[in-house]
Amino acid sequence: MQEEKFEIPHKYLLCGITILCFLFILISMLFENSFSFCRAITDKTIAPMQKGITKVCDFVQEKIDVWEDMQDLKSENEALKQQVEQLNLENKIYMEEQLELERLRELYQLDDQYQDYEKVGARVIGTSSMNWFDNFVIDKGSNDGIAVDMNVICGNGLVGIVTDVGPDTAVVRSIIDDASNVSAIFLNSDKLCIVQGDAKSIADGYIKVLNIPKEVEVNEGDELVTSSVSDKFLPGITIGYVEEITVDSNNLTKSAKLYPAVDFENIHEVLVITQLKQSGE
Amino acid sequence: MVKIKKMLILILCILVCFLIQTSLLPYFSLAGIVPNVMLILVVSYAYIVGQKEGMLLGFFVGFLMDLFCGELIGPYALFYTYIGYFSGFFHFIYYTEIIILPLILIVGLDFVFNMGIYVMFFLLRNRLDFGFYFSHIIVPEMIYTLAVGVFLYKLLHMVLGHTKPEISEGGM
Repeated sequence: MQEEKFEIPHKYLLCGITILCFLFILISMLFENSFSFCRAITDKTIAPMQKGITKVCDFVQEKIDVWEDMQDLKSENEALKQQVEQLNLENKIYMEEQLELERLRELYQLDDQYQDYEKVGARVIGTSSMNWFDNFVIDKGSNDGIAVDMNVICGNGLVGIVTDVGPDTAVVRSIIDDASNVSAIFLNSDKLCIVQGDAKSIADGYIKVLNIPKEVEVNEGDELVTSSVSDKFLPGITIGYVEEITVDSNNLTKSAKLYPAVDFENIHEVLVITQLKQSGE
Repeated sequence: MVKIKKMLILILCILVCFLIQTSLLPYFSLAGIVPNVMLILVVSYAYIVGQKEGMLLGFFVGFLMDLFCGELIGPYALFYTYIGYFSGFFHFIYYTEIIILPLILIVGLDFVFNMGIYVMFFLLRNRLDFGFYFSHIIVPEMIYTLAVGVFLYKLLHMVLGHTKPEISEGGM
């Protein structure tokens, strides 16, 4: 680090580093995975330590949470029991409909379009650590079959998309990140809209839905899912629920607030869907 | 031999700060904000040890952050290099007893650093509501960083004091 450079004046060194940085930016913009060898090194050295720290912290937090949650759980359990009974009833109705659906799908030979996706579980081992962004790092990488553009879900909602992969880690950009855009449809209509991450509004727990065509009937609480038009996101994954729909000033489109289905404050484990979206060729 | 020892101490410092920043601090975030520990490290090192060393450390640390955040490699390396360079100017008035100056540097440069990120990644994408970002991200981070900086600087001062070159060339 500080060998033969004793003679170089600091100004020139600064210029050199500046040029080097811009070179790096350019290279990483133009070529994907151009720094993967560096990532491979950090994956082997730093990632295991991060894994350890995360494990310990999770363990401690879990123990604290257990005590806090005990009372909540009791009342919640009661409510859930009631809900289960109710759902059982509904389930029966759906079962019948499902049978009908399968019969109809066989007719149309559509059944392979909605098959279950293959998933890999992963643990969140670090955040991007910049307050401006909502990226995080998971402990599975290319060695576990993870690749760029794979969808990441948690519970029953969409979390984000893999943007960078090392051998044993991967970077996930969540849908609430300011740079994230997801095309989505409402469950009850086939009109497209855009879900846009927003560093500003997520402080209040919601992100934005833009470009909803004005003629679409939208009610508060409607569910938004990923659309089949997107070239990266698999169709039919729940994103969240809309509230406060307003007509835009251009009087052509509407926008709304979207409350994500995933609790982004507490993500510890996620599922990565190892199936990539087939982009039409 | 002494050189190797200094190097090891420095690498250990970087590693510990990096792990604290990325894995430990998210558990202690206040209102979703984590302090900028790496900035404290770079500023302290440049102030205590010297400009050139601070600059190189800044570059290395920034590169590490870039690698970790994915996508673009380079912006943080650039920011941290300049932070090290600027802090290094104050090395020639370095006294062991003074703690106010490095703290002012830490807070000031944290502000500049966040402004840089805002302009580069947000303003250029038409995110104009500076007031919100200022009051919800920049100021909380400055305060939190300052609070952590008070302790961390003293600690780093103790540890990094050993890594200082025997004959220091001073500021320029």
